Amino acid sequence: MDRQECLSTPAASEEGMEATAFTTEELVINMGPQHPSTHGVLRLVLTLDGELVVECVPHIGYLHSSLEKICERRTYVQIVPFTDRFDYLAALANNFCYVRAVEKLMGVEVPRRCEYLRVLLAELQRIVSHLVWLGTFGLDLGAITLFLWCFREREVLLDLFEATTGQRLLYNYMRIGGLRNDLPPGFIEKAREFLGYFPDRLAEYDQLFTNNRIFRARVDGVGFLPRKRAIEYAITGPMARGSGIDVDLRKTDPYSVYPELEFEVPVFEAEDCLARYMVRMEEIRQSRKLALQCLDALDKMAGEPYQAKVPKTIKPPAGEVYERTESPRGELGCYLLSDGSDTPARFHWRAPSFANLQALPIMARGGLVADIVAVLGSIDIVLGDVDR
Amino acid sequence: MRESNADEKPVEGEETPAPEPLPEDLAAALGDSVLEFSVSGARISLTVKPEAVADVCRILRDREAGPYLHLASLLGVDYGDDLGVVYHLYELRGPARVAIHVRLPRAKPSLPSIVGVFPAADWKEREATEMFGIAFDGHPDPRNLLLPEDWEGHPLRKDYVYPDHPFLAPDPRHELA
Repeated sequence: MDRQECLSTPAASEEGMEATAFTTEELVINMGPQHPSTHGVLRLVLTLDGELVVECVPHIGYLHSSLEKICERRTYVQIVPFTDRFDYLAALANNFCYVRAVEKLMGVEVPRRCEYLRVLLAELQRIVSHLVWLGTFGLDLGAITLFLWCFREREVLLDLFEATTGQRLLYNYMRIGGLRNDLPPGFIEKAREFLGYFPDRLAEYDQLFTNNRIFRARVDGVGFLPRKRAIEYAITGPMARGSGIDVDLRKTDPYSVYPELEFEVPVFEAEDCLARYMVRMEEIRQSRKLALQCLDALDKMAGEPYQAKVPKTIKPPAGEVYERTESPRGELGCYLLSDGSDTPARFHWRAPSFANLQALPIMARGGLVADIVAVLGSIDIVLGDVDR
Repeated sequence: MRESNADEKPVEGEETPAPEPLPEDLAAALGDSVLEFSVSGARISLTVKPEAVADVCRILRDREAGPYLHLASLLGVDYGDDLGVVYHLYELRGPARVAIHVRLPRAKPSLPSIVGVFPAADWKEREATEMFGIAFDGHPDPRNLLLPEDWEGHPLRKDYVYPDHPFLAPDPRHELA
């Protein structure tokens, strides 16, 4: 029956009118778990009204491997390589937090040279992690060149890490009371050379990406996370600083040798994806500054020890500790409950990605479907960290 | 520096020669909901009654002199005899913090949800529920978070028995649990 026939009889005409009347209904769709821009296996259940997002419910746990339980059945020393696997893009930052927690529990003082080495590596790790974020963020928004450029720079640092630790991603490098080994010969020169030309590369990124009109249109004024909500949801790291919260544990709850180093904490008030982007870009520059200061300090400390004296079997006294550090993604916390034996009675990992992902619905609601990709990219989640 | 220890029976007179008192405003506001406490500079450790935990969190959040706005962590603990929940509240910019401990009977572990005070607790409470079987009364959405919907048992409890693999021979190490 064609349309003309429909309209010719009165009864059919009513039917036809009903069928062609403009009706709307909400549509529920799955984004993920296999989706290239969810950065792993994350499923979002989206309720859509046309192109607008009405509700967004994240479903997580696809990568859950109960690492906390695994760690509770290992000795303190054996846990170090497991901490690599939480946030696998910033394994040294995880090592750092965990060994600090155990050292605090045992009351171990590590040598100053070791602290500088740790901070040096943690800051280089921050650069590496932010480069992966920048590359994939560009990829999410359709800028493929940037991804290749970021990985070119990352490669240099990964080579340095590989020469130091023997690994490119999961380093298992820090030890309770120190480090596994000293820096290899030539590390400091190579690192200086890289940090020397790195600002030029960052300027290239800015030319290609930061000032790109298409990129700006995708992130400027998109994915608002109001300051008040960010505090309520315990958002930390670059996300908090993109919402105007002036908090960085390296300054506000300083640890290690950060009080002796000079750096600034970039804070942007705009509360949107662009603000979070600007925070991370500036952090890369600050991390470079910090790394250079560490290299200068290390020059003067050549030959000093990098390992404190610790007992062969690590058995911290009974007690509990919550140690937190500023990882590339935010506040990384490690809770240990010791019963005096050689394994922790409770091991808990306060993962920054886990806490930050909770704010996704706030930022996604009321926006466009296409903006979800930009918002998710601006959180910088690692699903290994979310699911643990 | 040793952390204050909630496990050993604290605190007054045993570990530190001169125990520090709670800040006056907190002592007055919290009243008898605090069972034990220890103070070390800006770091306060409390053990509170389970039913009072939401009120305690609200008082700390709304404190006038130095509010604790940041719920850093919320985690379940299996102490063996009983279960527990540990909260870490920090001030927004600085090292001052309160660690709140709650002890719960193993038979019926339940306490009020603090999602109304700190929305950040939402996922953390869901995680503690599925991993330890702790009921947070008043939680808006207490589904499993990380585990599948039909998961049986609470994996992070010490007495959790590992299910054998459906296709493989039983693993003798599972007996050790």
